Amino acid sequence: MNARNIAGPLVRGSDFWGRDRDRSALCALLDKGDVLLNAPRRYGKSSLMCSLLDQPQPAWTVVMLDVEYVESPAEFLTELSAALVQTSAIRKLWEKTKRGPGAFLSWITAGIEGIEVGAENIGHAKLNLRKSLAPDTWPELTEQLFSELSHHDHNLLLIIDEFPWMIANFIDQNPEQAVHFLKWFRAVRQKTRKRSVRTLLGGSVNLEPRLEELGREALINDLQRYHLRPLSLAEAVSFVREVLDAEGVPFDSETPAEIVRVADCGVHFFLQVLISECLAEARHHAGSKLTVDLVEPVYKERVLGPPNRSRFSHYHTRLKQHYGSRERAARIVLALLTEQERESRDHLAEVLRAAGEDVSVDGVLALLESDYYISRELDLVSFSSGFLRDWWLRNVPAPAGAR
Amino acid sequence: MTHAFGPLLFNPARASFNELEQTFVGRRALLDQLEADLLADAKGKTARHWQLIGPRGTGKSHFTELLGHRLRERGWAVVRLPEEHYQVASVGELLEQIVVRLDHLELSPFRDTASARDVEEQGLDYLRRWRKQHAGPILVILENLGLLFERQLTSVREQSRLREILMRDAPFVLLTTSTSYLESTGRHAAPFYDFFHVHTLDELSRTEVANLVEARARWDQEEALLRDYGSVKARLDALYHLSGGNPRLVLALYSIIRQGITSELHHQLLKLLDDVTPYYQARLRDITPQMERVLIEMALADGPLTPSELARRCRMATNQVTANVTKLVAERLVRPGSRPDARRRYYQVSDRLFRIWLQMREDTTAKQKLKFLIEFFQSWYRDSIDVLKKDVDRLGDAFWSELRQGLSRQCDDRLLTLDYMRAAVPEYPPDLILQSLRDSRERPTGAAVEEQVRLLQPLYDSIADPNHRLVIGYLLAVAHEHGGDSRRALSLLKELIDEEAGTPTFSGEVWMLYLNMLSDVEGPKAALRAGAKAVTANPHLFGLKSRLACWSAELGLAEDAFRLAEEFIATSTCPHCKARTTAQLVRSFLRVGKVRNAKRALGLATWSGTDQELGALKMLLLRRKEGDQELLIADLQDAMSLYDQEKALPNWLLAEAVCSLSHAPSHEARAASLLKEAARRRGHLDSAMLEHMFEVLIRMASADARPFGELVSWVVANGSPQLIRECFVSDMPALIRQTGLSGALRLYRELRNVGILPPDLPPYSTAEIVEASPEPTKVLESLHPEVREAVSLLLRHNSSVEDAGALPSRGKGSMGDAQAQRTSDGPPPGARTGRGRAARAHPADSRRRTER
Repeated sequence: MNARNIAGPLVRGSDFWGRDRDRSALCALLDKGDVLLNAPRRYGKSSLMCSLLDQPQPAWTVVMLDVEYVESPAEFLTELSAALVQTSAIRKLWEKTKRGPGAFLSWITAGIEGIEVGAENIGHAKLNLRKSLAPDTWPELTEQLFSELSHHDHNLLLIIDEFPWMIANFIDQNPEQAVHFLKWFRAVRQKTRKRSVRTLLGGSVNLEPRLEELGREALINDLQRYHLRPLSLAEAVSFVREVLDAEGVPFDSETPAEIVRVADCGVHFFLQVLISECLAEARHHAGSKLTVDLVEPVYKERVLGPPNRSRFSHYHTRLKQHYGSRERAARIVLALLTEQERESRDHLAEVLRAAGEDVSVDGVLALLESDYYISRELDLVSFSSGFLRDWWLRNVPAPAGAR
Repeated sequence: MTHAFGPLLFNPARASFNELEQTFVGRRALLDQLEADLLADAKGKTARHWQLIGPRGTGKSHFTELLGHRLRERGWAVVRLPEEHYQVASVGELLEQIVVRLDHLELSPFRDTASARDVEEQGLDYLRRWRKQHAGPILVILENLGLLFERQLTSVREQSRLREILMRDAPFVLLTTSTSYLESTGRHAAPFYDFFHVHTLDELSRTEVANLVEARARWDQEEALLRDYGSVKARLDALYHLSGGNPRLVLALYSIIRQGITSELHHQLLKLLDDVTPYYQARLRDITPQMERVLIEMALADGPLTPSELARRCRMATNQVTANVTKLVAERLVRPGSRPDARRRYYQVSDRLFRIWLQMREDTTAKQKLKFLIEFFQSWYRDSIDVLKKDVDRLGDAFWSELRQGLSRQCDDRLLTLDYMRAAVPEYPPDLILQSLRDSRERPTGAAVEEQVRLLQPLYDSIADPNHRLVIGYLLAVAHEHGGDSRRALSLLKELIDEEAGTPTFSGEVWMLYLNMLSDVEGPKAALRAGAKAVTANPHLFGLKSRLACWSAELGLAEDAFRLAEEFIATSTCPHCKARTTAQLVRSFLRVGKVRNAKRALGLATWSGTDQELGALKMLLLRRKEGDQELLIADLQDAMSLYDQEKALPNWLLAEAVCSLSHAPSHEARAASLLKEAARRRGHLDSAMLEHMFEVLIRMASADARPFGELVSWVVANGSPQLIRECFVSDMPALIRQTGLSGALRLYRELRNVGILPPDLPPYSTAEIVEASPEPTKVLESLHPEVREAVSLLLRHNSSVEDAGALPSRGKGSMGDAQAQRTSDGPPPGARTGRGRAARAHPADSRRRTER
């Protein structure tokens, strides 16, 4: 099956393509240790993780779970155990050792007793495990779980998607318990590092600010970071061409380059949104071609306009939610960058001073860069993508004093 | 065929696959694409879930129902969850509902499970097992996702869990619908942020609206409509305008095309608005008060507004308004407007139905006259005034027909519809309703005038709307007038125009009728006084000046007449009205022999030289001398030779011809023919025409002994019995006296035989006794002298009576002298009240009445 243009949702199998560079880099990091994969939503993080599940590295067993809804360490243990038990190799291992000592094995074997564990019975297994889990036993049981996993013949990759969300849930419910869990989890990672178990923690929200609030940012210092990067513009043109070929809508030979020119970025998601809107427009007038001159109006009216406003509005609202006293300074910087494609760091510092902002310009720029708003090249600062710049110009009013 | 209300109540879930397919318009490419995507996803590993966004009524249910049908045919299981989600407060319960509907279970298999989270796991296991046992995938259609996320599954945990289930190895594909983008899928931090693959259903284009109507008509086998589809297309713009391309509204309005403008239009739209009220109330609760304020201001505006204009109207800062407009645009409640001003942005409420609903709620005047309905009629009748006239006439006919059937509520609805239609076309006469109802072919006339009064009176007494009361009161007054009861008509009209009583009216028709009645009862001076006061107090009534000018001319107030006519001509924008006023003034001067003033009056008109009336008048004026008051038959014949097609004769000329021919011997047949034509034009036979007809009849009776034939039957069929009776009693003596004709007794017998006249009406019954007596002379001589004289006139043809020398010499004495009978044989001829007999004695006055 040809690859299709699927902008946003998780893609798997033949729909996941064009990310070989990221896959290889991530695998290389996982060879060395545990990884925190952080990227905004819709950047393809979950799809990338799923590709490691669907096409695992040779001799690797991969288990993946999404824990955004998990609210307690005990629930995490249940979910993780239930996910592991579906893996036949691990299930066989546990069945072989079920008569062995240890609370975990007793708990897990009792939970799956009499159940032919497969996807259609996993719920039943979870209910049993949940019922038989004594309060406050999760640290002990989970430690034993990881110990058991280290006996596994294969390398084991645990992909835990939306890990930061789960931790945020823990913090919301019981900050002390959350810290306890993170401490314990770091200890488990450190114990298993030299063995064959790896964890890939994915997240679309930045965990560090929450931990900073608790003064516990060191609890994830051991994790290697991997950031998804956009395609180069040349790669982006090839990517767009491949997508359009796969979609079966006739297009001008210059259309892919025009799409990249107009979006002025190599972020897959941005490109795919534009492609999707262009295709919709072309299909709306059945039989018509996706011509070069269609691209820019669609970009201006639909991608930057109301139909997609909500898709990108978090760039605007996030400043309010997370930037605190640096919000106005950040808005001033971004407003200036909509007017001037590149600004020097010193000029921005001057403008902020003139606007009465008593904040560190480097602090503001670092934050904006880590949140994918801007990029820096030596002393020069610009929007991370032309698309974001256009969107900002169209949708976000400049704060007073920005000009 | 569809049900009585057509597809307004169209419920896609109840429609057949064939009907859904045949009436599906505008979204076929999207449906095909989605179907193909679902089939492709089912073969691959990517599991997408879908959100179909479209304002209410854009056809989401039709779309999903059709998609469900198509997928079932391809082996899918399709589960449709109820829109309200009452039984769903957790992911577990959502899964439980899917299970119950998937296997059509009466009871949930998890009914004994206490924990919703446990049901979650059980439900997932159940569905996964189902998938393992069945080849086909499952499509779950969940309508109104907003309601689910914003009322039922509100917690982050529940939404996160559902997302997790859907994201990886979901046992089903979820297809959701919503009326707008949702906070729960648009907020970056929300679990379902940008999760669904979204398709939007936009409003239909003009062409698609036309296609939808045609498809619907084909399905409904509306052969007549399809045969005439070319002309229907001209009306589709109006449908597009009101519906804004919203398919539900298009289908609701489609019934108009099927049935024409009917009073059901209001009921259907009001019901539609009732139905959507809870939804729109909820929508308003979802937005901030400032957004609501801005939205309402837009809804009440006549067209798109700029943010600065909105800011002025809302008394808010422009940047505040801009921020709120941006949010409203994001909510799809507002969209950029369509005004051709490139420099500034205009905005308007995007959901037409929502706009209508807000108008209904916010604008008290709109409750009476929905702006949208007026806009609709404006659009409907744009460049089609002739169609408007036809529809107005049709509604007028329906009014009378329903009135006969005692359907007073429907009559009120007809008036309301006419009200909207009139308001929609400002250039159309303000008295459109009065005129259409008065001139309706269905209005009872002739013998049925009494029936008309009987029907209208209770409606007049019960009707609440002052405008409608005015209309019914007017019709009632017209009925009284036609029934010969000027005093009752006058009294009623006085009630209608009495400003002190709180019911002032600007209706020129009502005032005109009132003044005419006043002139009849109290004389033209009284009418002139009242009219002059009215036009001074109320400039809207300037149309009365035309009539006042004529009265002034006839009363010798030439300068007043010229002033009033000039004022009318200066104010009126209607060239025909100006010409007609000129013609009427000329004739008024002619009636009183003021030829010079008539010539001067003729100069008031800007005359193109083609106007029939003015042309005929000009010709007549050349033959007149100052002081001449009678029109010469030769003049008329000359005039008529110019316009020899009788049907094309102007009314006044027809009246002149009727009057002259009915006085002329040997022209009875032609006079009768013209009288019939005059009566047809007026819609009834009035007293002036009756008087002429009586003269024609007695001339015929005097000329030969042949029977009257159908002419008497025609009179009986077209005149009120009461009016015929009264005219006969009051007018016949003068006619006999003036003409010396002897046919009156024969006419009496004819009318007595059909029950119009009593068998003992003096002096006619007395004349019959004398005539039947073997010795008529003796009997005659035994009578009171005045009675004897009256009887003698009636029996003029009887030689034995004539020989008795009882007859007075012609032209002397009078039948009026027979009034002495009032002491012996009952009321004398001419004793009838209220019609201004003296005034009508002059032929010119008869003409004036006929022309009115």
